[in-house]
Amino acid sequence: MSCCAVGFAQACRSLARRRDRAAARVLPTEGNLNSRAHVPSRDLRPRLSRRRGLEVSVTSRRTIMCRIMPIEKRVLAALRSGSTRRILFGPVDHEGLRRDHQKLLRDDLEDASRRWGFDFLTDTPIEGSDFQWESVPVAKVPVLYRPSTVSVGEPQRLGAAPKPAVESVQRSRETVSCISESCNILSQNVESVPEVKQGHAVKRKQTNITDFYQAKRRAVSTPRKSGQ
Amino acid sequence: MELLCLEMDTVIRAHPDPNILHDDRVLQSLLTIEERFIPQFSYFKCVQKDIQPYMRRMVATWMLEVCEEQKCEEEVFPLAMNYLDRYLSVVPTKKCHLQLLGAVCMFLASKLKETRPLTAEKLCIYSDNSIRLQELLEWELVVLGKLKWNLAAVTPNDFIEHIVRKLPLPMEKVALVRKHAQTFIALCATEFNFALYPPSMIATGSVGAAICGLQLDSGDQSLLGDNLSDLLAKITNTEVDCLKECQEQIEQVLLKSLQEGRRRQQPQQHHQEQEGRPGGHKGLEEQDQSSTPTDVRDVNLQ
Repeated sequence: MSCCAVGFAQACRSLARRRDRAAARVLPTEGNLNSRAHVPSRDLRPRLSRRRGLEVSVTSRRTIMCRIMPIEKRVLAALRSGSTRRILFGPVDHEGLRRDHQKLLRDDLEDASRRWGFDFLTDTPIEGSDFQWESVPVAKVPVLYRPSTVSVGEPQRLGAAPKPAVESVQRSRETVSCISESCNILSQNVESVPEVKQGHAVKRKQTNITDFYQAKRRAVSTPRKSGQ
Repeated sequence: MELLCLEMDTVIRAHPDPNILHDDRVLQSLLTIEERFIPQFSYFKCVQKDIQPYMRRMVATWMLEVCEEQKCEEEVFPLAMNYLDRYLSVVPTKKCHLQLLGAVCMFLASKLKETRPLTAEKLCIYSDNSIRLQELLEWELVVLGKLKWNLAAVTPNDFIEHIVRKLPLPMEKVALVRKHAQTFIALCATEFNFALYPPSMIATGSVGAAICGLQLDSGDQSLLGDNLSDLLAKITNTEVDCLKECQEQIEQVLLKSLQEGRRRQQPQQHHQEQEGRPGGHKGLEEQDQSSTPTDVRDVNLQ
């Protein structure tokens, strides 16, 4: 098999070498793209491809660089299909994207609520959960866990926040509004910290997610540190 | 006139750390935890309704091109694909959102692995501005959540040094073997089949394919055919048969991608001639012509 593979690899290399021509790139000259960028500048690329006749005059004012790819890269270059800058699956449905985004965030928030026995929307503990929550004054909480305007709502959404104390409270409405209208959190001057009621936290079932998800989740996630 | 000089753009790297690379415990740990980061099933069957395998290949190819063009570190692309697969195996996704996800995954992988990560703006431009900056940033958080912030996934690239180090390779060939193996790993990441394989197996198969392809087996008996497979299998505790199968699949994917490239080559060649490239590469091209077999499909890998 090895000799076949050899002949084959040689074929690969020579084929790929031809593709090298595709490596001739027009460098971007837009100020906002820093030196590492090879992104075609916003208007240059379409002009080049559509109006070939003008190409020389356009490119002579710009820098043309021919980059020779290393041999190994040429194998991958065989996969190339025209300009890297392209739309793959037609126009993006921005409205649908926004809806999906909000739904996913809401689902995560609900998961987190179930898992931690805490309603993050109203900032109140949920009765009958595995955790017993008690209020702690803000001043007693490490600075890290105090209200922050940067990471609004993050811990709730992820459902994997190690410490519910992060669910700090004093969020003003303007910090929340843009991300999720469901995050209207009441202002309170206390932090809530969970205490594990039992010796261990029971892993809660997520009813709104398929069985597959659960299997996957066990396989992928690291052992949960909290609640142990 | 603005001039850009890429040669100035050096990234300062740490030296290879023998404490990490020469310690078998590291390899064993990688082997132990790698399973955690593999999707368990084909999500095309049980999770996704809108997304087909060929779409994954399309987005993967695009991601690879972006990573190449931006000269990302080798592991960025395989890692980004790992994120994408893990996300898609839990969240049903529409096809028109797939490119956004690909961009988000590159964004995250690049931030984890690179000293100078890809910027969100660049990624948006590569999508021909079909993705909005705000969307990229919002979805970053969603993807992170679905990955449980578990970003330090094991990739095949993590094994390369550990494997290569244990092979009786001529010193001057090591870099080349490494490079070829990395290339094969990237190629594997574009194919969904490989997403279900342990990264160590892909790494081992890629190194095997690289050594076979480079004809390095002439000097050392232990690098010959079955000997090599046995040696490689031992290093990563892989079944020899699985490893051989994997290596063959890698070679097939290679063949397939080159055939595709060949098919596309004709129009592109015409294209490039029109672009009027500066000279200086003629020698290379002539060399190509002479060394290219009449038909790659004649090459039998079986």
